[in-house]
Amino acid sequence: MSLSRREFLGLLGATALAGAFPIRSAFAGAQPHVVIIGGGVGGATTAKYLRLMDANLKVTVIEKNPIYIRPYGSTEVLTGHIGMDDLHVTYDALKSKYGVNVIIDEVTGFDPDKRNVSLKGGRKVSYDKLVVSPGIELLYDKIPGYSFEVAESKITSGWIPGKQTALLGEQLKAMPQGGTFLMVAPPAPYRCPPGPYERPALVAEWCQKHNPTAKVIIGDPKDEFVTDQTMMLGWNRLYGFNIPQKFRKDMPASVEIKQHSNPGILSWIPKADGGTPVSLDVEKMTLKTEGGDIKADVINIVPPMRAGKIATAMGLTDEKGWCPNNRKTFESSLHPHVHVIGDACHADAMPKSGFSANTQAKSVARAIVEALAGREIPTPSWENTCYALAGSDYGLFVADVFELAEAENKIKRVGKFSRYLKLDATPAQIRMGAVYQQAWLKSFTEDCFA
Amino acid sequence: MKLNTILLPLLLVSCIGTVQADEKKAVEKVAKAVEAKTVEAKAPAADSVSKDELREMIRELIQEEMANLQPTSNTDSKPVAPAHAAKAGEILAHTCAGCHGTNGTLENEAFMPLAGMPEQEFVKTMLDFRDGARQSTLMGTVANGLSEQQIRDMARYFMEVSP
Ligand SMILES: Cc1cc2nc3c(=O)[nH]c(=O)nc-3n(C[C@H](O)[C@H](O)[C@H](O)COP(=O)(O)OP(=O)(O)OC[C@H]3O[C@@H](n4cnc5c(N)ncnc54)[C@H](O)[C@@H]3O)c2cc1C
Repeated sequence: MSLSRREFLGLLGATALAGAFPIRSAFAGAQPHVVIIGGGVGGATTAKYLRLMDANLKVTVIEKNPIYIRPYGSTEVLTGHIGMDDLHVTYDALKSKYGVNVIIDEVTGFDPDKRNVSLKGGRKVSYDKLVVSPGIELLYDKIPGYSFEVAESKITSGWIPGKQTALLGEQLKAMPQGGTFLMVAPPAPYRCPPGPYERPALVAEWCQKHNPTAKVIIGDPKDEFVTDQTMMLGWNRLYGFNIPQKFRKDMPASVEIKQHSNPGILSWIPKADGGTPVSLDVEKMTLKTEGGDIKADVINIVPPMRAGKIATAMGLTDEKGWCPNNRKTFESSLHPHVHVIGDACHADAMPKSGFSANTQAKSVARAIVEALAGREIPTPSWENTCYALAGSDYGLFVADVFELAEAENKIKRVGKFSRYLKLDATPAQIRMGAVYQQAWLKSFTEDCFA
Repeated sequence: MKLNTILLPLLLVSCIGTVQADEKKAVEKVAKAVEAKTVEAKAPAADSVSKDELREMIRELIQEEMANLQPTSNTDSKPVAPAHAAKAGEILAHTCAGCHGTNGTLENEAFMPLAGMPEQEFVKTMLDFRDGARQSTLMGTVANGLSEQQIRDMARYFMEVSP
């Protein structure tokens, strides 16, 4: 049966008649019901904007944690710039200001024919439209020797923030003088492209003050990364990093680059130099890489990842582990009436970032409102801005406007302008980048949750 | 007919006792109306489901409604306007909100609030960013991804938002 419960009972006249009475009875359901799995960036933004666009909609968010711990900006916990509490975001405004129902429970599965989702607590919730924004699942086991248990107790990831984030902060503070901090970057695609490079930069900055003889090493299974040139310029100016020739050669002569005779605190081992992780020896605190063993005092690993577990359980993922969809509406190619957004979905040129999830959420909210109203779905538009820090006063970014290439079902970048901070940016512009990064954390959280 | 025998007792049994007293009457009314309607219409879909399925469906809907009674504040008695289609510029304008606040209303000193900005000011600023006549860290990149028409549509949208 492809009708939802509501539509079926509607055929019997039940919902329509019930809607005529000013009560919330069992069938006061003439309002279409949009259910959202995941109250993170994508889910919360969808809920808020759905209610802003159509106050007649009933909107329910199902989220497994009562408090959201925001991943963006979470590296600042490591350096003590903020505390864990500063990452906490509540669902109060979604509930009180926008009239969103928030159910704290975990979704365990769904019935696409009957159109309902099952919750761990035993309840079922039926929907007319379903939005799925479950974030990522970290594949710890892809690095032999690594596991969730190890990550929770000894060698953290923290790419989904929580206990591991706090633990990593403590480990950094307890690191012996002259110790080694090893950051293991992930293969693409992954959540937050500049993130695995911002983190070691902020750790290096912290070490300059508190542990000046320490070393920060980045092991990388890639030979380049988003914001590489501008990030490396920051490393060069702040941490004695010598920029490899490959990245220097097309920098204009006006760009101020330092040449350091002694290696600095931070180094980067790309794939070409053997940076790809092979396995982990937890007891010996040693990462085996293609280029040899690296022993460290603190190791932080961003393992390979795929769409959040529930997306896989619901059969929404493809062989790559991400969710294929119609790029105009983000409706799943595998199940109708289900829209997948955020880190979990395929979105071509759009990175897996909070900003992307936020603008996808708004376009999907609009697509759902129009579909329910029986109107044509307008052309979507998206944007992404990832601010990143090379140091607490050294900001940079990648920014893009995106458009739909409908015939190819692809999302493409618009414009030929540089996507990055200019290589010859002035010190004032670099400082402003850091000011904007901090301000963004606040305004962005408000746009999603408040 | 089978619908009446399944649907009605279920409806009444499930609802009475869980809804407030003044709502009971209304629920009964709904039940009667459903009876009348189903007798007369013989809804075609009704034959395609089993008793059990129907019972389960009703139970779930009731559960859901009851659950939603608790946390929601979706009970504003204000009449709500039907959803309007997106205004020109609205979809683009929403992409600014991550920094400039929902609908450009923002109390954050670092970013310019856009709500209520005079249309011409918005257009000139964006075109200057785009053409490099005005220095920026990031806005040049963003403005470069937009056409002049898109910028004008956004300008009109933001102008009409009360700050
Ligand atoms: C260190 C770091 C820095 C970052 N910095 C930036 C930045 O500067 N800018 C930027 O744009 N992005 C940044 N990001 C990325 C950004 O945080 C993510 O891209 C964004 O959170 C993705 O949103 P989402 O909705 O897809 O997933 P999430 O925000 O992770 O939300 C998913 C939600 O779904 C819930 N959930 C999952 N499964 C279930 C289930 N079965 N039942 C119920 N609930 C469930 C989870 O509990 C979670 O709350 C950063 C990330 C990290 C790790």
